[in-house]
Parts: sequence; C-alpha cells; structure tokens
Amino acid sequence: MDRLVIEGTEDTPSIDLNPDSKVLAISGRSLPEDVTDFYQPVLDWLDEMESDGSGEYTFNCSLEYFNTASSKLILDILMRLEDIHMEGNCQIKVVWKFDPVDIDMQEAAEEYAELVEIPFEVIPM
Amino acid sequence: MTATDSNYGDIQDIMDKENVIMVYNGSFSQDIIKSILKYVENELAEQGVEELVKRRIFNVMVEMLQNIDKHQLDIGDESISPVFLLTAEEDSFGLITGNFIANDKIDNVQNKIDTVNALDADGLKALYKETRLNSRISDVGGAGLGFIDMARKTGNKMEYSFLDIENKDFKYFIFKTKLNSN
Repeated sequence: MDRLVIEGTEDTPSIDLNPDSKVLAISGRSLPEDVTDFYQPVLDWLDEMESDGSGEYTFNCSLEYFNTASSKLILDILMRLEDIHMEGNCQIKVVWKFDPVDIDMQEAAEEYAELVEIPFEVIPM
Repeated sequence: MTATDSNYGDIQDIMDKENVIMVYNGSFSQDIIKSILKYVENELAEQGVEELVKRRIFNVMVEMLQNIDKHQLDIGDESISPVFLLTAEEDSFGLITGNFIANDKIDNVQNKIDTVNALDADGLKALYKETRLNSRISDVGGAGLGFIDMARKTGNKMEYSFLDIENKDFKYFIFKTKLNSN
C-alpha cells in the first residue's frame, strides 16, 4: 500500500493518505469538474487499505468548502471507511475540523456524523 | 422582438438599477467558473462582506455556475449565450442566471424547484439527507442536490421563468435567488 498524495488546487482538495502514519487527510476546496474521476484514486486506495491495512487510522477532514457533487463522494468515502471499520482489521476515527465562523460546515459535518457508525469528532479549528 | 432580446432588456434594466458586482455573459467552462469565483471573492472581501455571507455566496454561485456548465445546451448560435449576474441590494445579494434549456427538461427542473420551495428548513434537511443517500452521480457529474443546497444556504425561495423562443424546442431559463447580507 503506497502513500497517495494529491496536491491541492483552487478547485480540488489536498489529499494525503499515509499508510505509515495511518493518517488520512483531506483539506482545501472541493469543486472538481468531474467529481467521480477526481475521487476514484481515493476509493481505490481504500480498497487496498481494506485488504492490506491494520491498526488504528485517523481520517482528518478540514475541508473549507465542498460542492454538492463532492458531498455525495465524501459520503461514499465515509461509508467505505465505516465498512472497513466494521470488518475489524482497521479501527477508524474521523476528526472533522471546521472554521468556527462556518456554522454551515459544522452542520454538514454533524450530518455526516449522524450517518456513519464510526467514532466521529466535529471540532472547531 | 424575440423573447431572447427582451430577456437581455430585463438584464440591462437590472444592471442599470442595481449595484452589479459581477456580470458574465458567454460560454461556461470550469476555468471560466474559477475566474468568476476568484473575481467575486476579491470583490466581496474588498467590500468587507461578512465571512459567513461570503462563504454562502460562494457556495450558491458554484452550484449555479456548474449547473449552467454541465447542462449547457448548444443551440447553434454563438451570439446568444448564458449569463450570470451578482447584484448587491440594500440588505441582500441577488444571484441570477439565464441559460437555454431543452423543452423536455423543463418539467423536471420546475418540479425540483417547486418541491424545494415548498419545504421549510427541517424539510430541506431531510430531503437533502435522503437524496444524498439515494442519488448516484449523473452522466454530467451532478448529485441532484444543487437546488436543495441553494435553498438551505440562502434560506430564501427561488424564482424562475421559462421564456418562450418562437418555433424552437428550447426555452430561456431565468433563475433567481437571493441571500440576506446579515
């Protein structure tokens, strides 16, 4: 399982999935032109993590903005993490940090937290 | 005068009356969208607009602009193109788009907006949740959440009209929403 690093741009987030530190990080803005295409490497990486990974992982999300299409893909990612967590080899915790001024992002994070049954912290930056 | 000319007349009126922050008239692409967003973000920052309001404007703009880009209809006439307008009124920001839409797509768009307009905040939250769980990303890359999200972010009802264009199988779709500035 190799580390996956995707540099952020003005319309795509920074992504760093690190199998050594077991920290999966996403930050920045997500409004890609083709959301499926953009997030496919992340979903592929999670498939590898499901078969090869073990131990305690943290998914750190500090997205500043995501569009509605990305919102669907983020849910897909969280649900994949939930599946992997349930299978037992990997324990996954989500830490979602939001800018305190952004009550909409806080609400969005809390809505995700309600939907997936994995440890999920929503905390101000 | 065709419907399209009168539509541009309306937009001209708006530009004369209101404080227009941004108007874009032309074809849409992801690069154009990024430029529009960057320009508007700078303008709003210069005007000292509150951070949360700025973020909500950005949010609604992305949905509106990507809707136009993804559903762009080639009508074979490059002299008439989609439009986006952002205006500042006394206590709100107005967001307006105009673009062509095929007649057979109108019912679907109208139903979606009417459904969303009929809901209160809790209803919108529930519909967003249900739609996101059950939706699949469409061929053009949407999740079917745009109108619901815009209604949640603005807290206001959306307005629309479909202008007839003689003897054509498409109309001009005008879409408006507004966001309170405080």
